[in-house]
Amino acid sequence: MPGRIFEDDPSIAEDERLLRRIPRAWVVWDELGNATMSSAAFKDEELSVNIESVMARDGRPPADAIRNYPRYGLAAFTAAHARSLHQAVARDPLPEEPAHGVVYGPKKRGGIGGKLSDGAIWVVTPID
Amino acid sequence: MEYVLKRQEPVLLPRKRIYYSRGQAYTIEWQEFDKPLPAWFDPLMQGFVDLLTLPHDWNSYGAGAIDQNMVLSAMNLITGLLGPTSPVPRVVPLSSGGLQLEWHRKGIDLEVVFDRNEQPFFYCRNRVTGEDSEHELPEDSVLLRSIIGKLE
Repeated sequence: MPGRIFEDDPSIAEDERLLRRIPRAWVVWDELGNATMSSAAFKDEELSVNIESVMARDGRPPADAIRNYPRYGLAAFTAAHARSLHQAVARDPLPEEPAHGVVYGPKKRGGIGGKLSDGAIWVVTPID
Repeated sequence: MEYVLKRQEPVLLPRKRIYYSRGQAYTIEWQEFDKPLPAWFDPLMQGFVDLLTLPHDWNSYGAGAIDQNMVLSAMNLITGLLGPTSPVPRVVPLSSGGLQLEWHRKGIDLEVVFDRNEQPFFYCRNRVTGEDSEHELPEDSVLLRSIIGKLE
């Protein structure tokens, strides 16, 4: 729902892992054949994520975020990493996804999307 | 026997390629002087066509279709900058309906971004030194061509 404004939520710990689904269109295969994440996956001003601790509270493993999305990868980065790039991290529970959160702030310029990608790791690596 | 030498003036020839993606066919037509297509041509055009056939919600976060005008804008700009032996960029969709072209080679990350309601620009980063910069297009097309040349 673009157009909203989110404040940073200090109750979200610095080491909280934020999970982002990565469709095939955002997977870039490097020269060695390894899957990397395009910066395009991290450029939304209102970037949707799953908050891992909320999923854990509900007994859901991280991979549950892509349960309905075959062939997707799943990326994780920390709230601290997002904040280091001047992003706000906020809770935004949805009826269909209680663990939904938002990483809010401008990302299209200054290489912010790529820097978010740099700090992300694969939780579920896509296979070519 | 008497030979006659006549200089043939170069003529523009109509060319056409058809690309298939997700059960749809797209035809690309243009005119150019007779010459072989560069190696990047087909994979690049296939990348563009693959964006045009992305279904609604292709990223699972509610993204809509990619703007055909953005694709045409990117197609026209980049084909004028690539040389015969340029490496092919990856064509990547944006949630906003735009797209970006990406190269990750020789320690350089290069992204050319075409987005709705924005002037195209490119972002370049040296992965070794960490230096990065951003430039507007088409103003800095010469610089972009030069950087692409270094990726070969």
